[in-house]
Amino acid sequence: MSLRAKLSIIVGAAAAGLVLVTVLTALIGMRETGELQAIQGRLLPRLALGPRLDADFERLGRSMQDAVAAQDRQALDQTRAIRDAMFERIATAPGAISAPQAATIRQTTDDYYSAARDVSRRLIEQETGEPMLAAMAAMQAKRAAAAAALNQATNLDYGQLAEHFGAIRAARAAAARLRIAVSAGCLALVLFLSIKLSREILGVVTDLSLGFARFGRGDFSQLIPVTTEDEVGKLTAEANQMAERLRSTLDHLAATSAELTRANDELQAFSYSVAHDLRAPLRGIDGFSQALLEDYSGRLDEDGQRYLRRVRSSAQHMAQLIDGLLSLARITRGDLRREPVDLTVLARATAERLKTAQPDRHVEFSIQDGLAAIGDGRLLSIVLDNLLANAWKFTRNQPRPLIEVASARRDSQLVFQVRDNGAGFDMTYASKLFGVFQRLHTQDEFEGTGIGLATVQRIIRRHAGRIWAEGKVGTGATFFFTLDETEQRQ
Amino acid sequence: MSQQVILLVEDNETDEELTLLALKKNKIGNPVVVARDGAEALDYLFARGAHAGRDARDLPQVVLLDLNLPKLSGIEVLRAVRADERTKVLPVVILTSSKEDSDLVSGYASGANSYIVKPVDFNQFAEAVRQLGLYWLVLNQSPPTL
Repeated sequence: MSLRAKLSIIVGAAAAGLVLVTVLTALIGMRETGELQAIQGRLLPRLALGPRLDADFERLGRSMQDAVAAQDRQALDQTRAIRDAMFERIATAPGAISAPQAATIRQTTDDYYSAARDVSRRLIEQETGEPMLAAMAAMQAKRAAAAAALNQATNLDYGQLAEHFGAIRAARAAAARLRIAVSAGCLALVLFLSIKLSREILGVVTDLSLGFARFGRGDFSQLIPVTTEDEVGKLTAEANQMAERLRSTLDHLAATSAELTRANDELQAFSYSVAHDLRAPLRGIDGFSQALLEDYSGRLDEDGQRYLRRVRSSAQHMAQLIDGLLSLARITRGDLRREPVDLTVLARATAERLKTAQPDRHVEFSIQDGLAAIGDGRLLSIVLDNLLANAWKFTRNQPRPLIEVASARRDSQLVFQVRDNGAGFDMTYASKLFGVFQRLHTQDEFEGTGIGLATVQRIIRRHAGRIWAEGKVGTGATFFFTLDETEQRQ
Repeated sequence: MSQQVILLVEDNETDEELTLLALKKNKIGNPVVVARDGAEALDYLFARGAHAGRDARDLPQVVLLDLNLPKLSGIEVLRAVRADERTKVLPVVILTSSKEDSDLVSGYASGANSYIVKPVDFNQFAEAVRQLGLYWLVLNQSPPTL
């Protein structure tokens, strides 16, 4: 069952309980209202009606006595209106007096009225004697019967009132008990379901969190158990799938990494043997050529000696090529350090070295102050060594050689530049500048290995930067480079 | 006083002859004993194997040690030399064509007294050997033999 369905059940149970309580309250309220209506509709009107009917009854008797005293037959006839008004009062107050009681009142009151009227008429006619006394006694009895009926009908029945209020109280108490029972039942049900659900969720979430922690540590030996078929179960299954994919990717990566390490080790061994084994025969060529030149020069003519010098310079050039290749290979190895580097200081040191090596040349250096960068100082020093050595070399035939090192902002990027006014190059071949063994000049014009700029480019790329050049034959060349811009800002 | 021996540990005949030539050019007349590999070098130093009859107390003035050797490498030879009481303070100069940083580091870590990269240019090599000769054969006092 899904979590959504379980939650719906809990909310449904709570809602059903609420509805039940509401309906019960309404039902009990209706019963209360009925009891109150009974009190209001029957008992209260009777309470008001009783004294009025008593007064009517009194007035009826008194009016007939007055008519007798006044010897007025007409007044006696008019007393009938009082009787009618009394009956009218009973008829217009339904519910106050029950129908049989009303009928009894009418019956006894009519009997009394007829008898009283008859006695009154005979008194006006001044009749006396034994029959008259008997009629008067009968009339007195009928009056008592009517008064009793009236009294019984209009007397407030406290027993009944108490019964009604009792019913209301009982209904209220029952309602309260029911409400408490239903509310408590619902609460218990909702609580039970909630705790069960939250335990269930907590359990799988704990499993999930432990599983994710394992995956985070790179431990994929144990997948997360899928115990439910709800949303959390789906999530767990997806997490397991993700872990499986991650594991296979990591395995693949580890294999690739191992392969790379092996390849790198092989390359390192190769570089080592290149350095060691290729240089040894060159030493022999150079050394014995020199021995020939020194010890056997008498037996060699000018051409022979020149050839031997050629042999020596070729061997030395090859040694330079080997050194260049080795340094190029070294640059891709090892960690790239990230440190603040003062390019101004490095450039000035390089310039000093160049001046010391060739004191007969007079080159003007213009090196901007405070060229700050973030990078590997040793590698950036190689960059400046190569770029400045190139500028130094290619300004050889320039009467007033000038080399500039500066920086500028281009499109919010910090660009370093090394400019010279030397031999320059044809922009057509600009793309070949940075290739290994690519040269734009012959060995006779300008000596070189064709490795320096390739090395520079590799260093700049390791710093996540770019390098490019602009130049014109006979006017000079400018080399631009950037370093990782995000780091330079920090 | 008879001049002490220079032990040259070098597998490459060309380099051996060049070294001898450079020594000769610098008028360094010490007799040179050549060992072709690391094992032979240790045999000589500890007077065993082919050199069993030698007096082991008669130590060379200096050992010129190539790094890349058959059997035992130069570094292994150096470690064995430094581990033995008799040769603990024997001057050892590493002579190699490799500029590799790792060689340099392990060379010094194993107790090399000096380190010389053999340049391709013979004149530079001769100059390096000259300075070496001045330092280890003339200026530096060898430890007394026991």
